[in-house]
Amino acid sequence: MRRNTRTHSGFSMILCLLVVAAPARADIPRSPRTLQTDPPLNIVFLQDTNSAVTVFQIIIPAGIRTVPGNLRGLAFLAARAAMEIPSADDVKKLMEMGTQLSSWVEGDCAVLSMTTLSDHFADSLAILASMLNRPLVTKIRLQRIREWMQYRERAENDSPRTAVMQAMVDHFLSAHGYGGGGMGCEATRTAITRSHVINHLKKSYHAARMWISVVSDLDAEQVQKQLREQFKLTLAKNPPQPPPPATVSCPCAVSPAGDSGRKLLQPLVAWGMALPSLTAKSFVQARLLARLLAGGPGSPAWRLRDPLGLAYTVDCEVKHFLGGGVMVVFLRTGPQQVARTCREMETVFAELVETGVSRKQLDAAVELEKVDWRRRLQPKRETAWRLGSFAATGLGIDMVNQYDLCLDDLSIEEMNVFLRGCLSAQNRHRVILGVCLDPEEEKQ
Amino acid sequence: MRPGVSLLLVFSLLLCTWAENAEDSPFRAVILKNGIHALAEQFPDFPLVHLVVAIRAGSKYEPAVQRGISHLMEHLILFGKDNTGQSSFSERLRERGGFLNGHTDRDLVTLEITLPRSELEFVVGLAREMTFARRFFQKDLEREREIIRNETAEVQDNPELRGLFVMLNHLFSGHPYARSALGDVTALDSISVEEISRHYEALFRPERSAIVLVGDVEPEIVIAGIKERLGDVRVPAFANDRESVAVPPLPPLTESHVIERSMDVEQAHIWLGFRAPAYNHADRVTMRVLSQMLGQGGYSLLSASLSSRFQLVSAVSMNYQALEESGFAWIHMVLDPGHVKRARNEVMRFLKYFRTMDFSLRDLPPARRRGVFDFLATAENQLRLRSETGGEDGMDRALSYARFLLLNRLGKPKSFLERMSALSPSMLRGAAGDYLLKPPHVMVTVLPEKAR
Repeated sequence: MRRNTRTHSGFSMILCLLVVAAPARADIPRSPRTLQTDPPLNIVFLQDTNSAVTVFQIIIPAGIRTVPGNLRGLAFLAARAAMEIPSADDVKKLMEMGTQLSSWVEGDCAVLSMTTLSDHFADSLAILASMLNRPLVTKIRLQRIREWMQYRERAENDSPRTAVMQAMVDHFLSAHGYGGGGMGCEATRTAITRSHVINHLKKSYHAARMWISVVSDLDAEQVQKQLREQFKLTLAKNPPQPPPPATVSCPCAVSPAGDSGRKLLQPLVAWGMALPSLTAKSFVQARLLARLLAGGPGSPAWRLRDPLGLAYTVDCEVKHFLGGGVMVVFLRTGPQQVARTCREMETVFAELVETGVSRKQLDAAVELEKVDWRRRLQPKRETAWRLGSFAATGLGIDMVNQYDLCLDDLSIEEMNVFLRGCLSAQNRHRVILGVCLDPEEEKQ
Repeated sequence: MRPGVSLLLVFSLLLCTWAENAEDSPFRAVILKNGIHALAEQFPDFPLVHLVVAIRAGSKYEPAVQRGISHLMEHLILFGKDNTGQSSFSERLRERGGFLNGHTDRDLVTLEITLPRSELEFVVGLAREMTFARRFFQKDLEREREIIRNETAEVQDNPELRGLFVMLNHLFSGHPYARSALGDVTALDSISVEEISRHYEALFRPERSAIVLVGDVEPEIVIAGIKERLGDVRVPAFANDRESVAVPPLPPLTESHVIERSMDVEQAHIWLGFRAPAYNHADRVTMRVLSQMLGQGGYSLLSASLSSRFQLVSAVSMNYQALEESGFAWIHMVLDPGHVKRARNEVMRFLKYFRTMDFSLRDLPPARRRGVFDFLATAENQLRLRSETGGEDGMDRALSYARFLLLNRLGKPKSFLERMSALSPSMLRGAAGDYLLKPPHVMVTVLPEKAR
């Protein structure tokens, strides 16, 4: 026993020294920087030597909101078309290098992403540049992409969680131009013509308005050199004005009340809350509120799992765009427990709005959020996306490293004001997927 | 928390190729006198520590009448009250900014913690408390039973998982691997706290455990800490009754099975499952490359075959998971319900045809190589890429190490990349014949109930 005490103290002492003597990089682990090129491109770079991989992403302010609602799906269709490989030789080269290409759209941005072994970065980059300079927009290729989008739309409908998230976005953000989903629906996809795609690419995919995000084990000079030599984009002299946010309404919105006829063993109950427009501050506040509300054991919503045992899944997801956002709490519960789950969760909301969060709750949530932020930024693909999207939306690339400071800067008063605004009954919308709720039962 | 299949999917897609390459990374590894495998690796850039405790306590060790006891025990360890009865580990971790998760698969139970680097001492102490000194309480048991009931139903609602569960059930019929690690809801109702405690004592023993810590700390410091905190855990002298429950041998799969299910979904799903090399089998790397070449990435052979003339399927993939007693490989297709019959025929036709295909430049004389797609070179580079990206996450690294420490029986094998580069096209054709073509298979189709 005595020996154990002494050795434990020894271990503690070594650990203390280790932590105190650790270099400052622990707090600001990696510093992103911008790179200069000629012709000038907006490039942010971060060196990360944890893998011999380079992630190269282009973030274009050409997201869901930039196309009219009656052409919903155009943003995605254009992004996919921009990544169509024109020649069989290039397909062969990319494929044999193992390089991965992908594209997706968010509310405000379209993203073209390339992940490659760093040995093959230069060759892959040259092919990507040739694709972007001469996008292959043929009717046959567009039809193939449309078919794939139909599959994605169905897959999203088949996933209860994705379907509910889309219902929430449609409910809160349709008026801001974000409704209808990235894939659109049959009616809007059919309405999109080849010339729509070409015009969209011409207007929005201009190098002066893009942000390029690179995370690599290569050093900045190597990346800069390869960008200069291989990534030769043809730049128009006068970039077109960015399209204004779309105003035409979208016919694809799903039922904002959910689908009570859906047969699920475990109905999904969700509450959505509108968020203010995306700023550095609201970004931090929204993520912290999600952590506070349903961020695992000890959070107020967790009591529906422990001690009440009503749900296995208790969590919260945020979608945040320049024109607004939505935060959604998800619970999966048994068909016989839906009414009780709703009552208990309403009580959680009411109590939080009434009392706010305590200093202890806030401090715990802040520490968790810091750790979560760091662990999520480990994969290069996630870091590249965060850097690029922060740059493109005006939050700034320093946000990646200053997130901790932003959290520390939030006062409890500010947080409680934000919380009350978000969680108030007037700002909440409930969706239930999978069960018809008897109004009388809900009151009991 | 979410057992079995999620672990299989994540590991099979992201980690296993990296795990096979794990022995190349710099780390410190020891086996303590009591049998605990300990490993530490410095993972700089993020001020975090990722701890994994892995125990040979997966669902294959469960008595048939206690299906799900391992999963239930994992829940109780993570979310039950700690030994003081006052708070749970998860609550204590939250106060320190920590994340806690757990998985139960067919071979192992893993407990996973991420904390700030400054909490290293706490986390090593916690590993001991969770793994070798846990008490269980009736109230927690009742609650977690309900939670698992919810979890089981949730998985059944997922079209991506439901067919996979049915496939495994038939593929390993007559063996514990056939059972879902989630457990059986009826069996769970009859499990008592005493039985949980006995199961824990029998399986959570030092010689069945691995403790891995990956983080921004010196490996020597970590190993010293693990030795001091866990080196005196005693190996129980008694031969517990659970130890005598040896895992039965895997009976042969004597005939193919074709099964249909329906769900309230829009798209149909088809799973085509095969038995495949086990974790320590010499063909494991061959099978990994074969499944990559046939069904991973945008340029896979299956994708090209099933969508070349006509978009028969919306998505197709092939995966492979190596478990200790056996592996399994499966092709998963998502498609329009009207194409199901044709897709089933087409995939079987492709598998027969594959053995006659020239899929690598190494198959061809130099004069015939121009313009030919080299699917083998593609798969090798894709696996290199996956191996690299799979190692970017500290927790994924720790999980892979833990799995390797407990399941590897080959000593210090050659690295995955070395073994991969020694493969020839004829070896891949041979493996396709041995594992995908000749033996019986299991085909599961999930059809939409009706258009919603």
